[in-house]
Amino acid sequence: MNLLELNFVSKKFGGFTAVDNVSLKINRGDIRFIIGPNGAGKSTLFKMIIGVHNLNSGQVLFNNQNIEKLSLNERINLGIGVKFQAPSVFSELTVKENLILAIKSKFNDEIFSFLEKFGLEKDQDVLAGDLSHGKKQWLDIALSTISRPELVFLDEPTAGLSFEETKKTGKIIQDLNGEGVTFVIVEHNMEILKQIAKSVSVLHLGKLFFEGSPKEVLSNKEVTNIYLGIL
Amino acid sequence: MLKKDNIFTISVFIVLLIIPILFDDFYINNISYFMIWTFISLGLALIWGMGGILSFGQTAFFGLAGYSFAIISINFSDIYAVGIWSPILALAITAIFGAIVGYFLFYGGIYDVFIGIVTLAITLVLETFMAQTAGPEWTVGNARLNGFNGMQGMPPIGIKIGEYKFDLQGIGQYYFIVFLAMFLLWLLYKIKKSNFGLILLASKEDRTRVESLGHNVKKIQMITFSLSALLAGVSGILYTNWGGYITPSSMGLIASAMPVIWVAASGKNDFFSVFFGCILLVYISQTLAVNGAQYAIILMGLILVIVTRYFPEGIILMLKKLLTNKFLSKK
Ligand SMILES: Nc1ncnc2c1ncn2[C@@H]1O[C@H](COP(=O)(O)OP(=O)(O)O)[C@@H](O)[C@H]1O
Ligand SMILES: [Mg+2]
Repeated sequence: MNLLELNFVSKKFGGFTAVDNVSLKINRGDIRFIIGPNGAGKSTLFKMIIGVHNLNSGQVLFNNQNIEKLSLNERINLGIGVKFQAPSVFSELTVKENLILAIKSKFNDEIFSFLEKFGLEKDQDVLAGDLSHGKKQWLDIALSTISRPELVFLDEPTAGLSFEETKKTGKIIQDLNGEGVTFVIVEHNMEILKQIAKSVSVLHLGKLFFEGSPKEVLSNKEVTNIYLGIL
Repeated sequence: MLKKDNIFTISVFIVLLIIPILFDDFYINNISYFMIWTFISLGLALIWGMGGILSFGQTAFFGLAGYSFAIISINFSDIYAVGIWSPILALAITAIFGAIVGYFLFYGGIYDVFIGIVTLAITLVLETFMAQTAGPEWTVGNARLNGFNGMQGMPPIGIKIGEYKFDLQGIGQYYFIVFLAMFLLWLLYKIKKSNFGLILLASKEDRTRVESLGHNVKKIQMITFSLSALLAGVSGILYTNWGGYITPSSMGLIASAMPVIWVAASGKNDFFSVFFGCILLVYISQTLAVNGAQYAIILMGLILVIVTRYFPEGIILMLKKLLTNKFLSKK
């Protein structure tokens, strides 16, 4: 069964069509990468699915339920997690308070296991605003996954991370996936794609351009051309 | 365990508790009056300091509560315990009105500076409306609204049981206000440390991110707005009870600017600083106002300018932190 299904969704900003009739199916257990050049509409597609943007047309089904009329927090509470492109942790709260906010309770065990998983156990009383960039990204991912959603969207989770940090991020995502979390990830970084992607969709000029396994996508000439700016 | 920065709170309340032993009724009544304004300020600290939402019209709720209390208690002055339930009913009306305004603000997608504009408009509309109710046709039951002269002659808060009669006045009023302030400060600190408070604090930074963690931010903001209206209402009712009158100018432009200045100057992120700073600033205003109201207004404006420029955190909060570090950090 599909966990998420998009049917012909479109989004216009003024006269400009940022996302154009995209249809997409995500299976439970997948780690789907969505790639495409800057401005392809990847972040916009995310925001349409979770309810930050309204759709101009189309349907969003989560667990076979129409969710496009629900508000952002209502969709999240169905079992969806999200990390936006810009790292957005609450800089005036401590790391632990950030996580309490995300888990909606004070289950200390779960919070501690997440602090450990993300290597933040020494930072739990540090203000999130004082963390390094890498740790902010991890805290942000932790926020989007700690409530154990079925489906998690990550918009550029490794932006600005070093090679080692990227690898560690991939490992964490893989672990969570092993525990049953389905991921949809927007990335530019082909290393992490090679490391963890189970399937890949390519977005170009707001349209779905190609879908396939990581191997198929990486060996596809047209996809390479899009990235090089030829198409 | 006693936390370091509680020491100031506790010291100030000890002083407040022993003041009646040292001073006569005149001073006690004056200090009661200064403390009456702390509740509207604490409400503003809640919605603005914690929630990041600047309401410029808290006086609307102050006035609504004051007038409701006056109208209800004048009309039902013969009914048993009106001096107890009329202020409570007036507070309920105010909180509901606050929730309705909050609903239209937050569910209507009004944010930032527009909240200030809308709330200011509400208080000015109420002021203008009440100011034109001078004619004899403007009555609610037995209560004449009385235009810009305002309403008088409401029975005080209190209760009569057989021979025994208690009115909220003098030293009783003083202690009532002190204990109410202690209780509300405690409650506000509890709210700040709760999940509710965490959501509110976080929504100040990034509303969408809080929603994306599954929280209904609009609802939380609406509830907070209603609570802040309630606190403004506490001030309005106590003010009406204290002086025995309520006038439209309590909802006017100058009146509505005052809480914003007190809260900003004291330190909007710390409830105790707001409580203490508000008492000091109202005291200063009143002292100056003896020589003409305009001096007090000019000084408050000046304080606001200086504070935003040089002490953006607030003077009292800054002093509190300074003293805490100086005297208590070596332990
Ligand atoms: N809120 C917005 N208003 C107007 N245009 C927008 C908005 N958000 C995105 N766009 C435009 O939509 C296009 C797709 O943006 P985006 O989804 O952020 O691309 P990507 O994430 O693939 O880099 C871009 O041309 C961008 O300028
Ligand atoms: Mg993007």
